[in-house]
Amino acid sequence: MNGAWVTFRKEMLTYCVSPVSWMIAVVFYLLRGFELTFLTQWFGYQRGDPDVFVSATYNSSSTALMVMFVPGLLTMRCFAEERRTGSMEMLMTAPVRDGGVVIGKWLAATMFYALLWLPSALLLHVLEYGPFLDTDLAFGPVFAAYLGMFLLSSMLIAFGCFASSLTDNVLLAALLSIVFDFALMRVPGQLAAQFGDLGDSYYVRELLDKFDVMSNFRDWFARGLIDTSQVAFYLGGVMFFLFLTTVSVASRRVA
Amino acid sequence: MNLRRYVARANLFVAAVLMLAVWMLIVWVASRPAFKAMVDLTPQSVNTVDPATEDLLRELREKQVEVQFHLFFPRTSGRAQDQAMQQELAIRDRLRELTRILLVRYRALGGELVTVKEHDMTTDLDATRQAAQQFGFTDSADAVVVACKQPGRELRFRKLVVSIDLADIQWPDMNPSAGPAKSKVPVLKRYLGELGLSSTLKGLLVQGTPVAYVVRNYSSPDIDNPTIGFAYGQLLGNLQRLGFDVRELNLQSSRGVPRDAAFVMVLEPHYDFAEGDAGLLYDYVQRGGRVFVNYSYSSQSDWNPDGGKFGQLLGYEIGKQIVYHLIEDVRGGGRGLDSNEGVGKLRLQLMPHPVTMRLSGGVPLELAAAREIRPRGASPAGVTPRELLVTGPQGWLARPGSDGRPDMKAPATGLRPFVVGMVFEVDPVASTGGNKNDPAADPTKNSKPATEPQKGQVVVISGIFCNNLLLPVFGDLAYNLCNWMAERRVLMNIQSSKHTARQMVLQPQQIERVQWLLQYGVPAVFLLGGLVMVYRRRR
Repeated sequence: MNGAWVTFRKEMLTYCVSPVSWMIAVVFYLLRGFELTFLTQWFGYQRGDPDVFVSATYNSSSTALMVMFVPGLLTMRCFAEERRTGSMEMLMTAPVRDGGVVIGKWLAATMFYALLWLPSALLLHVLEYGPFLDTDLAFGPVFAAYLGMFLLSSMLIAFGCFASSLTDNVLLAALLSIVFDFALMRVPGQLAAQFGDLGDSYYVRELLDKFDVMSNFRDWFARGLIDTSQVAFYLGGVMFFLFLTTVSVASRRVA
Repeated sequence: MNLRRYVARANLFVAAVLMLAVWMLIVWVASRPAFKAMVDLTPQSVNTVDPATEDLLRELREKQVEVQFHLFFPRTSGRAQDQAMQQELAIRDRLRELTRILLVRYRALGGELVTVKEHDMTTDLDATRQAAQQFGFTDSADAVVVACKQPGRELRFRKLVVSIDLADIQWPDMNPSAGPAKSKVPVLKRYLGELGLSSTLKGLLVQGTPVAYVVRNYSSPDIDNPTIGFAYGQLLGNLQRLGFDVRELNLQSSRGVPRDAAFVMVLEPHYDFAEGDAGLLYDYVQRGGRVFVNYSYSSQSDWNPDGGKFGQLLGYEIGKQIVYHLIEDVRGGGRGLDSNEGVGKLRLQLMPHPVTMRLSGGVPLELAAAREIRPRGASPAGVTPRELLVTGPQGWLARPGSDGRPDMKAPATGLRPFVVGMVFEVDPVASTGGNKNDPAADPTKNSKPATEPQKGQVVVISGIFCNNLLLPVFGDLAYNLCNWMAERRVLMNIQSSKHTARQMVLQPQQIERVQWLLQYGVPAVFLLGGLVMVYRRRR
């Protein structure tokens, strides 16, 4: 556990001082700023329901881009860079367990990702006040959306760690992760349409719905609804990919 | 070296397969309807369905009833010509969205037997055309078809138009003679999705369409007007949506209550029933019929019938005076807020009865302009009276004041509870000497075998609670009553609505401030933070 904590602190510091991290934040909030402004104008014009405003803020392309690209960008260096620079050997010979290293790196990336999202929730609170929207926004959905994004990103980052452990090419690791994220966003919906009657089967439908992570996030978490089966799906996914990463790192040592 | 690498890869592969199986097992177990739990964090709990709906879906699952929801949401394109049209499109979008969310919940609760299918011409032309033909969908309005198939029975379905059946929309008055309209754009007042869908679903489970007859000739001529506050048009319209066939009845011309009547309603009669009509109604009740009479108090003294012959036959009498109840003055600790109009609305104690079972959990029931219902001597043979609604203990009968209107000042003594709602059960055997159940003796009797004769029921409520004005608040009691009288027990306790729409009204200055904050302020802070970080790292 100590190994995981040490790795977490080191990685967290690296993320915080990395110019790439700050650049991601600037681009994300710039894009989100334009989207939210447009959304505000739309709600003002349509006299929209403030209860829907919060959910609508998560139904945006900045959210999709954050889900698709950022986990891969954050995790691409996790193991691939270590291997490329030769520091992997040092890490492997250090008195820490493989699992500890994997958990530490994954936790740091997940926490940093959560930190990237945190100001978006605070901003909604600021918007409630008089000079801005002057309305009560529903914070139940904000909490649910934040939890949903945390769970979703945890799983995608866990896959990112796994992808990074498979190769020593940083770009290839990022690409693998982005392709995986993109596939999760697109393929399950397409598959459901192809399956026909089989797609109507309860468990097939449940499974496809859960793998369709963006729709899942939009239709449930962003609307303030938490389904325990989805929480189980994401936690199971995190366990699965972290386990694979640990096995992959250990097998590299053997190989 | 190569062998070790292959072994390592094989190890990874086997671990992946095993762990994948574990993951899928976790998902499978967590997806079982029995293990699924949902937490709704929305402020108005819009995603939470009523316990009655949960019970219904659980019951359907147990009975292996297949439920299908087919959504026909034709795509709209182009730009609206004016603000009203723009708003209408926005409402339409919102209603689609709310319906989709609601059905996600139904599907989650219903398990494997509930399917939701959204038909889209542009993506699946054949299936959409086939479904449209099957359900007779021809128009361009957004519609939901609720279909239900009980084991061994044919598929039954009903089409609901989203903007009419699942929503309460305030449309602007386009008639120029009606004066200045309150709003020039339509406004979504409430979403009634759950009421519509659950009621339809329940209605489909009940075979046949119950016919509700409304006796018109004792009530106000515009009793069925849906817009006047004191009329009952909305109740009658909603009953039709709940699957009732609502028809008018003139007792004199029809010479009795038709055989297909599920129940008869008399809403705010201004006069007592003529002797012949009372006899016809009582005859119908003796044959196992159901009657609902909703009296009220009127300031015109001759508009306050006391029950007349019908009351004599059942053994009740309606008082002439209005019942008031003390409202405690919480500020001064005094006896009550005399001269406060609020005393005119009676908060009621609900007596245990199937129609009042779930009402105790919602908004406390109130009656306006109620009068006392009291027994008229001993109960006639075969008639069993039961109290349904009773006021609190501090009620009194208001006497006319100096201006002729009922005086709201409470008397110093003599405060007591008053009965304002009763159910009379009429035993057909005891009340007719045993010959009324014999089909040969009564040619109008339904020819069903009378192994267990149905008891007649008369519900008498002496105050207003389900006119257009009060229906949104206390309508559940009215629906429960109607479903109970029509013997549609499965339909009782449907909540009328949950979601009340709000509006965001923004000034241009507010939007401008939001723009400055979000487009310039926040990204600038992050940019500055990044620059500081880079600068510090270099140093």
